[in-house]
Amino acid sequence: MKPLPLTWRVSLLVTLVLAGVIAAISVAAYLELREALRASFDEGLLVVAKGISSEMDEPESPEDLQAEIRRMVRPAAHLKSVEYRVWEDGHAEDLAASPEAESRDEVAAIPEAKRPEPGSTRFLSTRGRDGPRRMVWMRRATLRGRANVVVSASEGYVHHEMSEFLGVLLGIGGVMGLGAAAVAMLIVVWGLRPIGKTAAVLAGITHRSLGQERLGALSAPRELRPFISTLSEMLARLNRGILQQQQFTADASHELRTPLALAKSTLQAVRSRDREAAEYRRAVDETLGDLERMERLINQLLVLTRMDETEGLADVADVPLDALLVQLAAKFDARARAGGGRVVAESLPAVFVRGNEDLLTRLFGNLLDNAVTHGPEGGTVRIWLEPLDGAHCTVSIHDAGGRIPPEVLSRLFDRFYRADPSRARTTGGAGLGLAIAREIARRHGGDIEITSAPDSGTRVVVHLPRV
Amino acid sequence: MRVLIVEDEARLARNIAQVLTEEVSYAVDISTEGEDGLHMARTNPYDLIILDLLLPKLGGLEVLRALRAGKSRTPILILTARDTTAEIRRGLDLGADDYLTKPFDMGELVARCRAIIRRAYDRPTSVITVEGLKINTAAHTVTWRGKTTLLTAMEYRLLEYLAMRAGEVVSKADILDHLYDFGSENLSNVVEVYISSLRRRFDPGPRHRLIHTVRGQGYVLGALPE
Repeated sequence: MKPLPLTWRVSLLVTLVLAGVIAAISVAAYLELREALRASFDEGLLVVAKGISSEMDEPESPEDLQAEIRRMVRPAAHLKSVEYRVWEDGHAEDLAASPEAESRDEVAAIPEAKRPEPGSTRFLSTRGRDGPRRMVWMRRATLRGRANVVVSASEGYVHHEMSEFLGVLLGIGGVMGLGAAAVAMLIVVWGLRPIGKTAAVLAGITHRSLGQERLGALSAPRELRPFISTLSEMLARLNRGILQQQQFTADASHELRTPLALAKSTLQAVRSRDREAAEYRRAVDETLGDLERMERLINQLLVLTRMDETEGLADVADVPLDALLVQLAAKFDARARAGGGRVVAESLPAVFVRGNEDLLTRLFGNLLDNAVTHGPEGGTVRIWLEPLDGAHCTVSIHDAGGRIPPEVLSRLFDRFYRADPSRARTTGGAGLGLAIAREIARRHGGDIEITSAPDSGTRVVVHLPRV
Repeated sequence: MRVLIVEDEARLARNIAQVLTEEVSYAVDISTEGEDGLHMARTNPYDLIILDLLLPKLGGLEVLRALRAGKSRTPILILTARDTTAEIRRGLDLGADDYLTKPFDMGELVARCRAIIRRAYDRPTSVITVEGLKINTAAHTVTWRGKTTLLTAMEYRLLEYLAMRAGEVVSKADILDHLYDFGSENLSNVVEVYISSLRRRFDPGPRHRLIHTVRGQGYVLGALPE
């Protein structure tokens, strides 16, 4: 189910709350008024009853008393169909009663428990032929002994008044409810307008205009600001990502074009006229070298791109790190010996690392390649493997190379960064080796750090979690 | 014509130099980094500088800016792998005369070099005709009175330079500056030797001279200036 629009939800909520408030006020007013009406009604009955009762204290003949009471009980504005009955306890005959004498039945209908104690007065609700009635029953000692005075009247007036008031309440409440709904709607629409404006700005953002949007310039209310600033930060992150990707593409194409230009120019130069066989051979060899450089670069780019596109590791196994390092050391030792150098990995402890063997080989291959290529001519590269306490180990690769300046050190892991561009040209590196190595180390839950000092040489330390 | 190549890929520079020397008989100097390249460009009267942008020590655009700030009018062709429109526009707006992206076609590069140098000498076409002598700088051929003549590389280099400046007095120092790169050894009388060999090849007859000597100033190809 689609959620209701925000405008509707908030309006509905506000309307319901307002309707509740209006209803509560109405009910309170209704109850209050009913109480007041009943109190004044009871007051009226009591006045009549007290009048009759005070007549009882006069020493009159029963006839006079009856005439006096009849004169006293006149229908008033709100006392309709008033009836009365006066009698003495222990006497079956009434001292006085209204002609309809309905109160006799009324009184008879009242259960013993509800009747007032002698000497007290009680108000009672009863039901007569003309609907609900209200009665006051007074029992007190008089000149004529223990008298009962009952006066009752139809409550129709109260009910009529109340139902009229209810109509008014419902009318006013309904109008107020509708008004509240409309106002709530307007307020919500007005309140939500900044969201619409923000949405309009967001809708205008494309991958091309990214980085140019001015979300901060929107005059957004305080509540929206965290939302907008989060959005701003997200867009900035996206923009940085796209710029990095663009830079990467530009760098990659530059790195690919350079060997391509070399190969093409070599072939075109040698092709421009007839030459000695040796010149052709040289051109072919040089071009092959260019192709190898391109091949290496394409491989590196593929490794990086694949790692960028995937998460985690594939083909994970427990890799014997010591054996892997010994094997690599032998391979690079053969290369180093050509320049009078050595690569030494002696008495490495057995350590297993959970990971991808190909990637780990590439990681340490890249590092050893750097050490052999950039270390001092004829120097010795040493490999240490230390299982640390807990679940970690470190591999250190050390060469006696000179000090790498700190500003270079911090950029060594950047893609396509080359500390020494002119020298990398001859070795064919594109500045991706360390970037790849670090990515692999991080994929394995580890990291790489490089330290360099003039007297101690350059040390690359790889931290990896071990099995 | 003398060209400076500032390019950190030494092999690429060497290939370009080889083609420029072999195909169009240019004298070529090579620098593999920015600072040295700028110094060379400032101290020698090159006819063209082929400039890479990504250079060690000093970037190509900085070299370009420094040269133009120093009122150098030497034509500059940027040769780089940077190929976005923004980069091309920036290079041209900073004062480069042309922009070629790597990888490039060697023939196109040579043609562009010729065109730029031609413009610098105010020659709208690649064929220069002086009296009975026709020099086709594109085909690299010389025709004297209807007959094609084969010249040695140095003879052609000298003749092309004189033809570009035909009708002007060209000093011996100018000739030496524009015909020889750093690597070549030249003897003090080398100019006289080549002038006289050209005169032997293109002899318009008695009391007439195609190449005049202006005593103490230099040489003029074609009619003497007023």
